[in-house]
Amino acid sequence: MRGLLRKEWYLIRRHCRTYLAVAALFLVTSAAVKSGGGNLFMTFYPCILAGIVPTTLLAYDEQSRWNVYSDTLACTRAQVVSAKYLTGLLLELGMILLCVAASLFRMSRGTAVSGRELLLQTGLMVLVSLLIPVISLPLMLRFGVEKGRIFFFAAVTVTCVGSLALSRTLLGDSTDQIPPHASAIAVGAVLAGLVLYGLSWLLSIRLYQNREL
Amino acid sequence: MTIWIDNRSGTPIYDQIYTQIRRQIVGGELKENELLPSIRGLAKDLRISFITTKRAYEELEKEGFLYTVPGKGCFVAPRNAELIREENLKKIEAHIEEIARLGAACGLSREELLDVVRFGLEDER
Amino acid sequence: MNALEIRGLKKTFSGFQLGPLDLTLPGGCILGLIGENGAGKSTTIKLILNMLRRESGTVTILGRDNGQDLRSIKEEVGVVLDEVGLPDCLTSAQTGRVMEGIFRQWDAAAYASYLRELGVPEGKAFKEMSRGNRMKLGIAVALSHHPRLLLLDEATSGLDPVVRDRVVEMLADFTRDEDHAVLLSSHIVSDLERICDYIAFLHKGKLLLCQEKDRLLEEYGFVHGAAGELAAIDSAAVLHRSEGRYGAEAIVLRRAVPAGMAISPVTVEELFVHMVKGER
Repeated sequence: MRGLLRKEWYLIRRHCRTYLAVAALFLVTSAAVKSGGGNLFMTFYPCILAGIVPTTLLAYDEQSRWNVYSDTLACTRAQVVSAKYLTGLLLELGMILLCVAASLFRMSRGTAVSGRELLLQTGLMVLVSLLIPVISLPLMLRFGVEKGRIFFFAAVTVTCVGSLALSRTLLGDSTDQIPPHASAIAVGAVLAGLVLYGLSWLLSIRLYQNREL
Repeated sequence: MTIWIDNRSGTPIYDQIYTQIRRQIVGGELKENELLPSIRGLAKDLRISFITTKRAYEELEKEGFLYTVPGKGCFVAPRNAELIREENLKKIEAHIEEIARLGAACGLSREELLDVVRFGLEDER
Repeated sequence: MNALEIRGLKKTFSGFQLGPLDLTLPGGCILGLIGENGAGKSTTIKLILNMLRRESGTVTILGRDNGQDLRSIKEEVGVVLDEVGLPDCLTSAQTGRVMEGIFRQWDAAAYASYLRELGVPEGKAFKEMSRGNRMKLGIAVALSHHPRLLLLDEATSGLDPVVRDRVVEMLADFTRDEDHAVLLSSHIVSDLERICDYIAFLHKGKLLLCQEKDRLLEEYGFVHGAAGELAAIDSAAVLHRSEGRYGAEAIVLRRAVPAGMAISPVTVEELFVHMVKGER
C-alpha cells in the first residue's frame, strides 16, 4: 500500500503541477481580494481541482498499462483502488485547510465575510468537491477511462448545476442572507460528503475486483 | 574437469557428457574419490537441463565409474583393473572395425588381412 | 513440491477456446511454453495469476490454490509480461522505491545489482527508455523480491542477443536452487532450447504436448531423401512431410524409421513448426 501511495505521489509531482499552480493562484487571489461578499466558487475552486486528481491519476494508469502490471505485483485490486481514494482524501483535506486559511486571512483584513458564512461555504464546498471523485471514480473503474470520462463530464456538470442550486436554496437569492441553521447545514454537508466518499470507495473496490483487464 | 558440449553434432548432450567424464576418469585426469560437480551445478554452469546431467551421471554410476554419497554428492569410483581392461578391449574392437573397413576398401581378402596383422605383431616383439 | 499445477483450466472467448489444459511444473525446473502468436500463452499466464477469471479448472501455485490469499502468493512469484506497465515518468530508482513499499521481501541491493548487470540506464524516465531497457527493468524488478517462481511471457523478445544470453544465464543461476522454478513462454525458441528441462507446445489453445525436452528430441528425428524412400515410413509416425524439387523431408518418430536410413537430429523449433503444420 505504501508503495502504491508513493507511486501516486510521483505521478502527482510530475503531472499535476498545473493543477497546483492554478490552485495556488486562486488561493493567493482570493486571499488578496478585498471586495465584499463571499464568492463561494472562487475561494474554494482549489478543492474542486483536488477532486479531479484521482481520476487524472486513473487516466495515466490506464495509458501506461499500470492497471495490468499492478495485477502481477503483490498488491490486491482493493489496494490499488484505495490508493486513489486515500490520495484524493488527503489532497482534499489539504486543499480545504488552505482555502479556509486563505478565507480567514481575508476576513482578518476586514471584508464582509462572516464566520458563519465561511462555515457554510466550507461545508458545502467539501460536499461538492468530494462529489466529483465519488461519482466519477466508480464509473471510470468500471467502464474504463474513455467511457467513464463521458460520465465524468456529466458529473461535473451536475456538480456545478447542483452547487448553484444548492447555494440558491440554502442561501437564498441574495448571498448576504445566511440561514439561521448554517452550522448544522455545514456539518451535515461535510458528513454527507464523507459518508458518500466511503460508500463510493467500497463500491469501487467491488466493481474493480470483478473487472477483467 | 573439462567438458565441452557440441551443439551441432548429432550426439545427444547427455552422451557427450558421459563420454567426456568417463574418458577423464579412465585417463586419470579425474582422481579416485574426487568430488564431482553436483548434477544441478554442472547443468547450470553448462547452461543445459539438469535432467540431461542427471542422466549422464546415472549412466556413469551404472557402469561403475562413480558412486553417490547421499547428502554429499557424487565421487569418482576407484579405478579397477577390470574397468581399464574392458575400456581397452573396446578400443581394440573399434580399431579392428576400422582395419576391416580399410581392408575391404583396398580389396584385401580375409586371409591377406590376417597376414598383415600377424606381420605387424611380429614387428612388435 | 510442484511449483505449478494446472488441471482442467478452461476459458472461452468469442472465436477462441483455451483448454482444457493440464500442466505441471515440477520444483527446480524450467519449462518452455512454445506457441505461435495467438496460441494462448499470455492468456494462460494471466489465468494462472487470476488476472482473468477461469471458467473451470484449478491452479495451484507453490502448493497453494490461487483463489486463496493471492496477494501473499504473488510475493513469491516474479512476473514479466510482454509489456511492462510502469508509469511513464518513473525512473528506475523511483520504481525501486515504489516496489519497496509493495513487496515485503524487496531486496534493494539485489535490484541495484541487476540493473547494473543488465545495463538499465539510470535517471531516465520510463517513457524515454527503449523497449529493450523497459523489459530489462521489468526483469530486474521480478527478480528482486526473492521469488520462488518466475513467470515470463515473451520477456526476451525485443532484447538483443547479448542481453538475451545474459538473461538466460540469470535464469540458469536462478534455478541452481531446487526450490526455484521458471515458466517461460515464447515464440523465439532458440535461446531457451538448451536450458529448458521441459517443453510444452501450445497451439490454438490446446496443449499438443508437455514433455522432458531430452526425451522429446530423442523421440523424433529428421529424415530426407527421395520421395519414394520416405513413403516407406508408416504415415502415423510422420509428423509432417514436405516435398520439394530436390527431394522430400519429414520429421518422424525415430523408432518407425527403417534401419539404414539416415536420421538427423531435430531442434525444438523445427519440431514445433512441423507439428503445427501436421495439425492442419
